[in-house]
Amino acid sequence: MFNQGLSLDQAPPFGVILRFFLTVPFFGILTALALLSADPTTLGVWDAPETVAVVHLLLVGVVGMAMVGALFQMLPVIAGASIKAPMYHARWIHAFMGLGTLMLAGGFFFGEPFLLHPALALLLGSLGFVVFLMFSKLLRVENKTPSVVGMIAAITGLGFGVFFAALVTLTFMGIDIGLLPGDLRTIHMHFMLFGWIATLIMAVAFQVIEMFYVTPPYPKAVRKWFPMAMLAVLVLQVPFYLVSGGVVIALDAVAGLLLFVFALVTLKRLTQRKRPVADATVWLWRTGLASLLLAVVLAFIGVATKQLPLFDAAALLFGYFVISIIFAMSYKIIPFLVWFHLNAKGVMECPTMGDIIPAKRSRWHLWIHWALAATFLPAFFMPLLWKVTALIFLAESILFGANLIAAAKIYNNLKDKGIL
Amino acid sequence: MHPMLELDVRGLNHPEPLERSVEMFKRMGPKDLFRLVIHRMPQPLLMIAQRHGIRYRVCQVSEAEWHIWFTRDENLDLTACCSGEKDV
Repeated sequence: MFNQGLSLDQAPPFGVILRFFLTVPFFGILTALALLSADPTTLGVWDAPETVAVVHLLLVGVVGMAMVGALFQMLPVIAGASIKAPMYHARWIHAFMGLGTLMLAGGFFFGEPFLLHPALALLLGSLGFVVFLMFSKLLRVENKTPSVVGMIAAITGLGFGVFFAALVTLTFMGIDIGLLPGDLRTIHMHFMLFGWIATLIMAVAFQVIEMFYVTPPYPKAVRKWFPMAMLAVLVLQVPFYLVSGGVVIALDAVAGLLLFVFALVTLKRLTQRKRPVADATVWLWRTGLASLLLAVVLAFIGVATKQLPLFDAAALLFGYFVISIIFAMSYKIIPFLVWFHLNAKGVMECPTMGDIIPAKRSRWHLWIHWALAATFLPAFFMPLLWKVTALIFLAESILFGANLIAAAKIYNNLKDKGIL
Repeated sequence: MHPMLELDVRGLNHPEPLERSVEMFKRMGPKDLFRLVIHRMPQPLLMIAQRHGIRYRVCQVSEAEWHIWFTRDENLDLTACCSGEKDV
């Protein structure tokens, strides 16, 4: 290869990714504050407005921001799908997503319905555009690797999730869609949690576990089929909400099995690292994957025994899995991008990646993250513990933000000292 | 005869292979030839090389072994570098 097909122009400006990732701790802090000030007894009720606010702050504000930011980086660099004017697109997508999330959460949390319509317009518009933009780019990629196929599946899952969010909104406005509002909400949640978030984590894992931790590749069958199988299961499930609850549960079991096997295989891969040095990111992956395994087991038992609290615990553990992976990825991606962009500018005094976010600081984060797990499950039985959970998550978000800001400062201080 | 630099980073954890290779770029003279042996295709490294005006040639030896030749010398012919290996 003679310098062909590769260009620095393929890597989007650092500012594109940074704006999304720096917003993650901000929404983490807001999530913690919402948890702290919510009535602890309502937090176990999924339909309670305060719970809806907390869930959306976490899943759109924290998780969504990180994932859209990561896609802006991955599409051109991993998939070879170049996004034109990435800064322009990132600016308004980021602004609309941020403002929409604030208004949606505020509308629910403070009981201000007038905020909900503009919030939904902003969120459906921005996320809908993300789907359109990225799906169309990915479809045109010639070499569709398993990661690319996984990203296509995840973006499609997001598309369905956004579509069903719109339908849920219509039912709130009194329009009959033909499906029960509760079922619509469940379908929306399934597509968002499993079709979008879990599937994107799979697609990213296929690429980064092997790359960052020098492990054997995932089995071909897992790489090739799991993301599409997850999407197929969720799509297939939709009509059965009208005709057969039994089939819906059976397909839920298939989705759970896919997640369970993915978690097991990934944990196994992490034990097969060539050089078994376990940094905080490895432990965050392990923590998240163990949490996912437990979530699936509890969900199965919860369905079998009709014990709703087990199902609630499974949902919380799934959320814990997702944020564990977000933190693990952030601690790899951000130092790498700072280092990469500074070296690309020819900055001679560019620090090593290990100095951009020191290992000691990511270890502190790991310990706080483990402390979080120790409080949120007992909170079901002692609602006052939600306050402790909130304070720990607040500390975690502040530390995470401080770590990211420190990395961004290194970049800003050195970016103009390049010789190229 | 070009001075030859060699670096084998197979099996090293991220980010060591990238960091060590970039250090080597900084040491490379205008006539040096640098051969990197690595366990995967380091796309970001090739982007950085390109930005530094370094030409390269990528040869795949096996699924887990790549040889990449780098030089700043405009006149050096890199076509013979991939002898017996898959020229990527």
